[in-house]
Amino acid sequence: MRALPWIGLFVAPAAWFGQHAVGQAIAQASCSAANLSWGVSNRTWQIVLLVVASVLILAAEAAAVAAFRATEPMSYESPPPAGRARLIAIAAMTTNLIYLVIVLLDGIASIVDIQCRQG
Amino acid sequence: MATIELPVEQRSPLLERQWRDKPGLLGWLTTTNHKRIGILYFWTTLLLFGAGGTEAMFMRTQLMQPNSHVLGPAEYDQVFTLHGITMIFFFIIPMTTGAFGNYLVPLMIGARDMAFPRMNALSFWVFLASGLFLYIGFASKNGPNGAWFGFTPLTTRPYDPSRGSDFYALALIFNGISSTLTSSNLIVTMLKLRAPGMSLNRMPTFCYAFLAASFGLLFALPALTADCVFLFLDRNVGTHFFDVSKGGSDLLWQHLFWFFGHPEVYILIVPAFGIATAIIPAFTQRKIVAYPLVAIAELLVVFIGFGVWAHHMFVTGIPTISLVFFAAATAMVVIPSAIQVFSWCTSLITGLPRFKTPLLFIAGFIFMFVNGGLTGIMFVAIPFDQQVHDTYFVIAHFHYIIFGAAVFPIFGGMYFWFPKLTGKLYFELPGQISFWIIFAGTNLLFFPMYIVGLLGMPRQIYTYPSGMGWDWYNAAETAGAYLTAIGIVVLFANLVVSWFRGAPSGPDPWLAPTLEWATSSPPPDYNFAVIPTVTSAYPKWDGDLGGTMVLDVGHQQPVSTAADAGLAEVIEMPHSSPLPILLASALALVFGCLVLNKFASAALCVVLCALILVAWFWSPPKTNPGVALWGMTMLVASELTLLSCLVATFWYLRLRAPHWPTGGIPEPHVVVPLVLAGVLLATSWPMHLASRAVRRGRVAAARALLLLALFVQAGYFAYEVNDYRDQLHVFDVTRNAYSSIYYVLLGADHGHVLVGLLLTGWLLFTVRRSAATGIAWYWHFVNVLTVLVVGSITAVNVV
Repeated sequence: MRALPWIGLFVAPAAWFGQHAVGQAIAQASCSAANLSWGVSNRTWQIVLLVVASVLILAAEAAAVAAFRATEPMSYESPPPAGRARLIAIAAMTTNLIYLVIVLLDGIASIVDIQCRQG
Repeated sequence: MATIELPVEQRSPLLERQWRDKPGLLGWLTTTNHKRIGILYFWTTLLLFGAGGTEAMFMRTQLMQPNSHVLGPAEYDQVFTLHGITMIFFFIIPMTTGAFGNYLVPLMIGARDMAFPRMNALSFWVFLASGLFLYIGFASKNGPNGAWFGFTPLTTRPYDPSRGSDFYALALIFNGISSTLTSSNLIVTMLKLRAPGMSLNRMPTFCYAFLAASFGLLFALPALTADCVFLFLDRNVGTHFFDVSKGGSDLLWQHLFWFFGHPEVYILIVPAFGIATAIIPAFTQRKIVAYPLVAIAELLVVFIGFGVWAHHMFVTGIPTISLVFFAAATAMVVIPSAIQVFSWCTSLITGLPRFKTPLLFIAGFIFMFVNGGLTGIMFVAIPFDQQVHDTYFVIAHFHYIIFGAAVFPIFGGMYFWFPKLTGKLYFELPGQISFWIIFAGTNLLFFPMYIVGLLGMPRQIYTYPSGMGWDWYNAAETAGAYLTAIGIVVLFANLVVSWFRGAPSGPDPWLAPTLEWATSSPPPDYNFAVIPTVTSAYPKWDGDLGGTMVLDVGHQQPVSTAADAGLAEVIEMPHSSPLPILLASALALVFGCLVLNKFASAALCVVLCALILVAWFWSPPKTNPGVALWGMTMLVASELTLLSCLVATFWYLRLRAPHWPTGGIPEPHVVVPLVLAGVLLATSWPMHLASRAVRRGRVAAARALLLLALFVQAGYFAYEVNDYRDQLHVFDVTRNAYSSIYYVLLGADHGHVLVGLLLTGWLLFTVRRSAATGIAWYWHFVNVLTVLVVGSITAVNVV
């Protein structure tokens, strides 16, 4: 129970950063000279990354909501640890939605547009 | 631990004597007091702001009319380059984190000093030396001239045969050391030295902003350092990181630079957000609206900022499929900024605003930030970005952000905390006049740049022909620049006169809520006679602060738990020392020798630095192991980011080559290095057991385990160095881009193994409890690093 707010806060940014870093690296690799011999399938990898990152972020959101409900009568100004847990839960519930939108935008765009044309 | 037995007034003289610095100049040179270091930062950055401002005035005078000859093209290139470098690296960052952060953060969290006082002093002296280093280059006609972003190939040796780009690369590495030290220190201070009761949900939003900026610096600067190291090696050693004909890449520079450069923009403005969230409650007499969202938004804006770097590269021709990742993140980074704008506006509307000078500057800041922010969103549209790229439209956008959103709150903050620093009130009417002049001047200066940019005027041109439709806009911009300069002169003249003739302010003239206003103005050397106890994010509005700890035996400071600020321990802090200024001087010699290509002399100066470090750690204070571990964690985080940049470079160069290794170089061995890396990894276990034994006082067992680890580490190191030397006979570092990154990557890894070896040897010798966990932690990091490096080099061939 004590870990729930932290899971809510940290899992989503890690999922987004992982999808972002690995996803754009794969996108670059798929359009690179090295891919002539590697044969990296961009679309497959992007789908996997999109699904994994989205599931992780939704799990983090669930953890944040659970932490928020568990500290229900308290305020974020209440003494720690309940007040601190509530603050983190509120912060996590908001930020996780932002991460989810970025992951969806990144993932869908990179699946739909797989051309290696110059930007 | 002492508790209150006598009235505080009778205790203070004792604290005064214990915390006082040496008198006179020697006191300033050896000080470790955070307030004095903050003041040193303030005056130094102000001087550099004057230099950067003078450069801006030269540029605007040159561009006031077409075909002007105030500056020639070569001088203009140097002036605009220095202007950018000075304002970003030598004014805004050190003014916010160095001056405001140093002076205010310990006061705001109820601490008596920073977590690492000597390191704090070192960061200032290194900063000063790096500024002098940069301007010595300019004075010796070797000023950098490739813009603040120093794009290759313009800064490589064939296109810049002067030493200007060497000064650029080395000055930024040198300056980066200072910023890394400051940011690490601020993070550990805010996490470990908060007053009892100041849990994370009660930390001022000002501190969240500085925490965000510090984390941003810690993780962004290594990319710039790696880039500048590559540039220096290309120019002076003959490597080929940016040489396309040898397998290198110019885009490599841009990727690494903007991985640093975009978070840097947020690093510049987030402390200003913090200043705004400190000023608004004081002048509206209400709590900031949506405290939890503002606190997280300050962190979020920096974090998402790490994912947007390639939006600066929309015209470089990288595939569209890569660009979409950065467009999405760029669009979404607006949300945390918007959360804060709504919070500030709602707080102003629902509070009782008193529009004194500090709040006027914050209102001006909100206007300028929204203006610059809205034009920033326009760059998300890739086709629009490609149209206005490298025009004055971009200059207008980022000056609205950097001057409007970063410098306005700095000016507001100067007025706001002036009574705290001096004990005097400033004169209100001249303050308000200075605001309106600066506000009018900056808008007259920057707004026409949008128009002239849309009309097609490119940035970085030293003059332009008449008849382009740009003349009147440029004349207006120059008039705005002079008006802004007049406003700034009025501002500082007011503060100087107020310093001498202002009325006494008392401890809290604004009825502000945070702890710095709970002590006298100016604060005593020890900050608080009684360590306060905190019950909310607005402790001064809660009535009696309470607190029972006086801690008047030596330089004592309570250490708290990171999340909930429960009292963990009381530690003894270091006091004034000549070692920081000596170490900074030795480092300056290292960089001086490097720029002159005196590599042997530079190596000797490195030895001198090492000797000073030995003296530094010979008799350390009784640091809390928890604080030391946090410090080591910051170092490891920064180092791991740096090495990750090197590994990413290795993979990036690999992607660009159809075959690997290039140039007929034989493939590296796979089996032996992997097995040896595995053996090295196994030494983490005896190191872990040894650190546990040291902490439990089992000296003999600890020494035996450390000896075992040291033996294996030394064997690994000897084998690898020998192998490295043998390979140099087969192909050297100057063959092509592969050989360059191969040797730099392995060399960096071996360097870290050597440092780990020396630390293990030192622990074997001293068996010091406070250092054991930190050194073991460093060794685990070295092992992970080795696996990462060896794994990359071998995996690339397997793939």
